[in-house]
Amino acid sequence: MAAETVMVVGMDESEHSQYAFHWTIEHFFSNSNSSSIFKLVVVHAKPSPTSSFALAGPGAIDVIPYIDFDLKKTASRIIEHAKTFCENKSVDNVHFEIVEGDPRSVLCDSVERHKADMLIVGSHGYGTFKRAVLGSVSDYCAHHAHCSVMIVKKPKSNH
Amino acid sequence: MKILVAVDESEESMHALMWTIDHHLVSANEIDSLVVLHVQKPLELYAYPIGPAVYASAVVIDSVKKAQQQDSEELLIRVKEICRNKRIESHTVIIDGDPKEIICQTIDQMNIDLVVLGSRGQGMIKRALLGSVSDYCAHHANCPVLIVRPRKEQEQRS
Repeated sequence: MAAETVMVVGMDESEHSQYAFHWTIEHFFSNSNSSSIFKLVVVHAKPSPTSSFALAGPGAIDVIPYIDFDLKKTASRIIEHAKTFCENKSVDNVHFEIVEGDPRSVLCDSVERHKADMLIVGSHGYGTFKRAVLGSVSDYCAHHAHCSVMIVKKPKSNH
Repeated sequence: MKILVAVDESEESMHALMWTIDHHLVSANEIDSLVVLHVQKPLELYAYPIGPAVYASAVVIDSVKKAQQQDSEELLIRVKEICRNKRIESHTVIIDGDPKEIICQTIDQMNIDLVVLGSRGQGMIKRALLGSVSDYCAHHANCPVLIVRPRKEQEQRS
């Protein structure tokens, strides 16, 4: 029981993801001794430049560096925001990662690498149909991660 | 932070309770921090084969109800013991009804911050649903849901 609890939190640009991250910090890292009992790993899955669209035609290859640069900028921005937030809340036992790939496998892989006790993900709150069509990272992780999974949904209304 | 752990007779839910405490999620200093809920499912009175009769007689209903109550009490005694050994105060509750609905209702009524559920760990089969209670709660509960994997899956990694 003395060992620290390792939590991996998946992060992208979405509001739901930001909400899950803030919720985690506010509920688990608000005490001064939190850093000795919890370790946080913030993981952003950066999409690979070829994954988000189909490239066709000559000259398409030249576009890739620009797209990649843009994706890298977005990724840095996300991580910088997370870093600033952690500093403001005096959270120091935290590690930040940007890994290229599909969020589903990136998150599950991070869990393995850090031997995480818990994976925290936001959720879009899609209905059954949307989930089936658009795919859901939180659903995938809830089934496939080899650790406990916490799904944080943004509340629909304030009550 | 107020945490609700839903337990039933399964080993997985007991494990979820112990996991929650062992991983420091429950604040030892706060009162009312841990609520353990057991939902008693309504009895299916027509399901018991008792000779030629189609419906259970009053006597049988009574004895089944008593057995169910005894099981629930034993369950919560176990819960109390686990909490006492780990020096955590817990507030135990038994409510009758459909587990998934009652859990979600209780979350609203008691202003729960986090609900913890065990999982049968059918994750090895691709695209399998979580147990119907965890799946329902993951989609409908008005607070974050923590699904605790069974021990042997967690041990397989290390």
